[in-house]
Amino acid sequence: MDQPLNSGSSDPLASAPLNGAGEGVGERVCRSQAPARGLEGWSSRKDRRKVGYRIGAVFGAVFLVVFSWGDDGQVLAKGPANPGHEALECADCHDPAEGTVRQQVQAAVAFGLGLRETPPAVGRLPVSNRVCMDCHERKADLHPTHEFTEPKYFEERKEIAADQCITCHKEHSGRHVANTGQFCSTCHSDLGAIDKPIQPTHPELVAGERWDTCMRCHDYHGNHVREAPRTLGEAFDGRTVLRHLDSGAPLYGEKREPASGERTR
Amino acid sequence: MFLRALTLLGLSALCIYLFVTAPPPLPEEGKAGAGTTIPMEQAFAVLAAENDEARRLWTQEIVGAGKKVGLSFDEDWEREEVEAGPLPALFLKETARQMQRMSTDLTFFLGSDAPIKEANRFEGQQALEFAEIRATGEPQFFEDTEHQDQVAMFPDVASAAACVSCHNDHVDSPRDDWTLHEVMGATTWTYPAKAVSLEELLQLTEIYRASTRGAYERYLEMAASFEDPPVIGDQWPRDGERVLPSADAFMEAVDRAVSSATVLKLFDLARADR
Repeated sequence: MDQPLNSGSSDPLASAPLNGAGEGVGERVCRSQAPARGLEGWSSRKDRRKVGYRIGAVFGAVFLVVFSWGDDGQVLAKGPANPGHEALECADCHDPAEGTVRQQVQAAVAFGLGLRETPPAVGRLPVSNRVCMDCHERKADLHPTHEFTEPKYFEERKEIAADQCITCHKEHSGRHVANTGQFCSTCHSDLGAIDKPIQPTHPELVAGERWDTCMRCHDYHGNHVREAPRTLGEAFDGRTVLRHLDSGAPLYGEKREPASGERTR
Repeated sequence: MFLRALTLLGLSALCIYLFVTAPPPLPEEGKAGAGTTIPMEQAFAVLAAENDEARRLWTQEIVGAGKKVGLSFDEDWEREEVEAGPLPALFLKETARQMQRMSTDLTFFLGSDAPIKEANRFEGQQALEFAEIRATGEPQFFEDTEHQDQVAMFPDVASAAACVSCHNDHVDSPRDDWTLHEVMGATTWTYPAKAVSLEELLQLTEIYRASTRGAYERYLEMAASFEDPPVIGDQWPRDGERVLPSADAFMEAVDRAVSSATVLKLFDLARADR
């Protein structure tokens, strides 16, 4: 029968060799009790190595479990699906990267060694606008993403990357729009020159930096039949707009041109 | 000792896996493949020449001749209640939109220093390059270093009287003194590579043509829904009737007009690379 590890009034650890070179009860006690003693107990190379192996084994096991989980996606997803995307499978948006895993690893190592100029995509490709537009294409869009790739929008792209759908419609955020919709100032700060018969006027709203009011009247993509109101009083209130951005709840009414794969709420 | 040997063995196996028995390396994005390498400036020139012909055909054969047989073209052509086709600048814009639907990094835009729509005004580097185009009439090339994009700008000339009259008469036009054959604006092309292979250039040309076809098909789709739809077939408005060529007929005409020059240019580029 094994000797109890903590029997007796004296602490066996006090006499046990800590360098891992000892044999017998003292060493067994040292290893089995190590976690209770904090990092000091792992000062020997052998112990540290063992801990390293165990951590590696745990990570390896987790890695294997996660990647053999199937295509459920719940484990790998960065967060909850955005409203309307709950039924999508991972592969609906995440296209496989070019080449075999071996080629991808090879290219990644080559990039790491400076033998390749650009990093390869490993596993899955980043989600591009084209993937979004497979379902959400609009023939008439007031802010089509490709127009923001023009060189003149260089500074604006740094502030808000309007050339990418996922800048606002960030997936796995659980929200329809992952910001507060107050980015119009980036491009429209010169609206002061626009003189339309509305109350308050555009110059007044710009002077007051009322960028929270834009989406109360205007639909960013312009894909709804609704005409913009002429007074802020007739516009939606701020909370309603924020609720729409958050949940995707209908706001602007009938859509001008629902795309074929897009759900009409 | 055992662990060291195991580690060494593992690393050796990894090196063999990655390098010695390696599969063909993945092609690198933004780098020309094997074979003939074409500088992007030359590739842009091929694409711009294709665009010039498609644009000329649209402006003269569809808009110009179409108006004479009762077809309408309007800046609000996308509105359901408007029974009209896109004006030349908007046809180009629709072509650019069609291009966005494809898996390509090629983009192009139309702009000016005196546009009808303020959003189409050149700014920054584009404005500087356009000033050079206006002064010399020559295309300009530069690099968007931040995005590693190659950029080309080609002059867009008033090729028909309708271009001049429409821009001079438009209420939002900042100028009313445009003249025929004057440089009215420029097309800006971007692509994230300094060079492409011959095959890649052919693919880009295909993408451009498919985009042009897509734009024309969208017009035909809308024309078919007009209250009095024009007959769509092999005839052209120049034949004196309110008709439109089918997408096949339109693209065949583009093909006939530009393919010979494109192929000759490709031969020149292949020879120059040898």
